[in-house]
Amino acid sequence: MYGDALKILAVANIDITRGGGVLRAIRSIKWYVKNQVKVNLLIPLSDIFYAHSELKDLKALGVSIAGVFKISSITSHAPIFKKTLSDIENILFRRVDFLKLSYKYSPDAIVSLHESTDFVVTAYILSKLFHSKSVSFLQLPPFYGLKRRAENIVRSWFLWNYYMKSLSSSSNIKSKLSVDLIKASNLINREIKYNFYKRLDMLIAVSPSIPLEMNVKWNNMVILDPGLTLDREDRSLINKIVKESHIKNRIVLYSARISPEKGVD
Amino acid sequence: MSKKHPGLRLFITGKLESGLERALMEFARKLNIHDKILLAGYIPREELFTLKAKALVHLYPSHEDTFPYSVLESLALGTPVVAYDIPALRINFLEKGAEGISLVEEFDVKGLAEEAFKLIGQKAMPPEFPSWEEIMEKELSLLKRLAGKD
Repeated sequence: MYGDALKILAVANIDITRGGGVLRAIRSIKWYVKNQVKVNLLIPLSDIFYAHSELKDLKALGVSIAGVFKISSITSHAPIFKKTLSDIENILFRRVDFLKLSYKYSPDAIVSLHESTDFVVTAYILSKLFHSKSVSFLQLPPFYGLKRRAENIVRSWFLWNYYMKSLSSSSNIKSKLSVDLIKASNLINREIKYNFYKRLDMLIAVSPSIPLEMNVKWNNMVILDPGLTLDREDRSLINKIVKESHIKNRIVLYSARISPEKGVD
Repeated sequence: MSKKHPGLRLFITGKLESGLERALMEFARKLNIHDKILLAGYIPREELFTLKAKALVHLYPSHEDTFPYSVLESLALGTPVVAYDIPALRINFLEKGAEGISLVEEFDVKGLAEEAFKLIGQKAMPPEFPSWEEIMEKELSLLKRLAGKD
């Protein structure tokens, strides 16, 4: 059926409740399959439990589930199992790789649909195992090369902690120390990521703001401008709702995944 | 905003990690605004779009973003957006001619509220973007070229 079609092993999150990055990833996968790309999918274990309908939709379209990784992803739902799951993660993950190798699976590219290090490292390692091209989408900057932006994100985390824990004045001293530690760790983190991400065969940035925030000009990076927009389904839903001409209520909306970097200042 | 217009209610949508709902409401109680806040959690898209269409204004104080669907949807539904001035919002919306969007300095919460009041009742519209199909064609051709299958 697929002949010489493009074969992709996609590393992606499909739990739609996680936000726009997942929505974009799912839409890309659906487009690939509809356009005769053979897609195998590697997903975090938690998606098996929390993304039933997305999984069903993708399978119905012809996406094959190659396996799971990031076993510890379910620890956000069940923190008590964190240590045990982390211990067995590598064993199970490697089993998935070698199972596929034994079937002489040969994808053209291993594509991480997200910029998170766990996804990208997985894609990169598998690309070496399968002698395939390594690709990662950058749906956010993996690090910040602009000092002020990096500091603002750290500051947002500390404001979050401050509000949530209602820190006393004595523990503010501790938080100042922690800010310095986080800044130092960010610097190290940035150096590691800087040297790792440029090794991939291709990085696809979904906005021109990404290389700007990373402060890089890399030959392996291509920029989609724009990298997303509303699809037909969204447009038709929006047209329907706008035609119903809803009267504005006395509502102010905050609509985003609730986390420090999304702003709870 | 609540001090100026006590009748306003804040709807918060988006996935809530376990324990977060209680913590947020506790914090709102401390500020004595708990009766003005509704934590809706994750809601399906049709319901979310209807809520966005009914809202006076969408607050989007994100520090980290690339190209938020959330902002794009609100503008397309005619609801203005006030957000922090980060490159993603400036490059993809303001500089591309979106209407009904205002950006303020990060952490300027007062400015956020003031701009929100100014935007209420204003026309909102996203910039003209190519279709999703065009973007996907380009994306797929990049992958095919890399794999030598174009």
